[in-house]
Amino acid sequence: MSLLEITDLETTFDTQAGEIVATDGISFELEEGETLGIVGESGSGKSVTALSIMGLIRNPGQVKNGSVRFRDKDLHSLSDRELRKLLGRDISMVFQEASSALNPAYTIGHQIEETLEVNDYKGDPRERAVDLLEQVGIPSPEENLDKYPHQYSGGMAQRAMIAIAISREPQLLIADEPTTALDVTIQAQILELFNDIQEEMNMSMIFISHDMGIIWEVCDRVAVMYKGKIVEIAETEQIFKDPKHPYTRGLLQCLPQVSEQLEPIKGTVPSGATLPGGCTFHPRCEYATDACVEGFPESARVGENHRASCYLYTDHDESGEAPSGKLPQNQNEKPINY
Amino acid sequence: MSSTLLEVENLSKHFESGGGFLRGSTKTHAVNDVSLDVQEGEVVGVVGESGCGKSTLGKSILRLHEPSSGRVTFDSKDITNLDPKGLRDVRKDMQMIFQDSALSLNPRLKVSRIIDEPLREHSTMSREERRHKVSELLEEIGLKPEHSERYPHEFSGGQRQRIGIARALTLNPRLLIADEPMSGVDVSVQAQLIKLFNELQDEYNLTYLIITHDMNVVRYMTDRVVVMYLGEIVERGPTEEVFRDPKHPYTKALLSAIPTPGKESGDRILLDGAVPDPEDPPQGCSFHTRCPEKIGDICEQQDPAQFDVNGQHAKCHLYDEP
Repeated sequence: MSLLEITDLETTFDTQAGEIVATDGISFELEEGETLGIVGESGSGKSVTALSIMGLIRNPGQVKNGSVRFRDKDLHSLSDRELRKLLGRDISMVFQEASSALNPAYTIGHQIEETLEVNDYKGDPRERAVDLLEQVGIPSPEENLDKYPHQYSGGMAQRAMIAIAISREPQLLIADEPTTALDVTIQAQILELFNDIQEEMNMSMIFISHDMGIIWEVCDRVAVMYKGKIVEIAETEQIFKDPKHPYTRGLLQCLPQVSEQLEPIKGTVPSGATLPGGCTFHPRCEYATDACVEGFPESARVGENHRASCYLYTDHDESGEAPSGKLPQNQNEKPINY
Repeated sequence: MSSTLLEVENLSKHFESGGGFLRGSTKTHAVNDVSLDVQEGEVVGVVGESGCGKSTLGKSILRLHEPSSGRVTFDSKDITNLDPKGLRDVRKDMQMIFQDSALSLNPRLKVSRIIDEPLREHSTMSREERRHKVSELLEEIGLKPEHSERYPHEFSGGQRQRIGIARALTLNPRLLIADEPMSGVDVSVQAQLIKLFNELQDEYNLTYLIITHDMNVVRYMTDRVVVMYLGEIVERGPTEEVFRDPKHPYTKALLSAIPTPGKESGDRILLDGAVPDPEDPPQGCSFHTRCPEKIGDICEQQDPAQFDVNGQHAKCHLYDEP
């Protein structure tokens, strides 16, 4: 049994421009101790996926379809009370901007103790808070407990938020772009911290990022999202060494640190309510055929633990064999060297 | 043989803050004794983390901030003390692209007007010629003619950045100073913009000074790079050399911190703590509080000079050989 099992998750938002489908039939599983990365550009539905798991989607948004099962318990069928008990204790979340996720009116210590109390912590909350700050690498914890968020630097505030998130030793931590607002040397410190914590506590993580470098470093497996769908999912090595979906390949070719000669994906990400029909990527895809305009390809097996949603591979699925295939060779295409 | 287009000598910019009746003010040394040169046709990068003074440096070169001391020479002409009229003429040749395209384009003007504005101000073209020039520029940066009648908010971040580029190009400048031109856009858009910058450089014979925090962009785009920390240049040299074999301990840490596909994070150099408050920088070498290669008291007491290490310059006592 997987720790987390998501099936056909569909979350929509009602807007004046019509209904926007933010996640469109997402399915994946997460094993214990595993880190799954979700990567994609803005508007791909990464954050909405996280919020849907946490049950944090509010009007005008709604989870329309699908199930989220945690330890075989369907989260969406729980009462608010039961859900609250689970969240913060078994599942917790770290947000992008620590300075806006923390409450400016209370001290860091207060906010950690509050989390502990809400979750029926039996010991001395103050003592535990000191330990936690120490664990996340905040110097002189006793003193820093009584400071307010604005007295913390960006990196320190992110550490404090991580302290709150791990206060009840969750089994699953969802981190949504936790280092995006930080400088690169501070980012390195925080990534190291995630690494240490995960080893110590053996928790599972869902790590959301737009940065392929971070994904490479942190994740065991990666799901690549485009316009509300997972277009490819595989082990990290596979995604980088042998990307199957043209979008994944395009993303990698866009990285100045990877590509000798940048090959930008043509066009732009289509916006919300006016999605192209068929495969949503087809207007930007150099391999698009008539089939791509008409229907969305089912996710097909393209290798061991490797699936992609692309008509290049759907024919191979029936036989159960992994296609021999690489992408059809294109003359402008450069091999990716790491 | 290329010639020096821009030369910056010992440029400093201090800001005073606080202060009041009977109360002293504090002085922040945003840029401190910075010297660099840019050759014609070259792409030079300025990198550093937030608060290192890279944006202030860019603005001080254009005199959008008045430098506190030092000298800026553009095309062999000292522009540090130019009067407003002389400055106006020089700025035709040196243009800036700003970080936040949403803030740097006037929301009340249509795109055609935004791009037309510099022409009205500086050129003697007729209305017809100007209109022609605007549509030519729009095409150049990859927008359609019908886009010219739209307002900035109707565009995506990447498109707005393109409009900012078009505006900077209207007067055929020789030097473009771009302050974080790619921040806040997705990677696929970033790749498109980098490509656009490259194409425009060839076509307009441009020289770039690119200010950014993104090492990957710097490595890809620039010929030479300067690395800033707390208002000072700590290392400068040819980009390939600096990335292959960084000399300054800060540069080493900075480069090792970049998460790169295919690279293990095992030998990463982790720095302690955060950048010190620029209002109260450390004595001696400004990096000594975080430096993993500190050699002793000298680092705390004496500000190191710039030492030449095989063509790279590093501001570090490690290279002070008597």
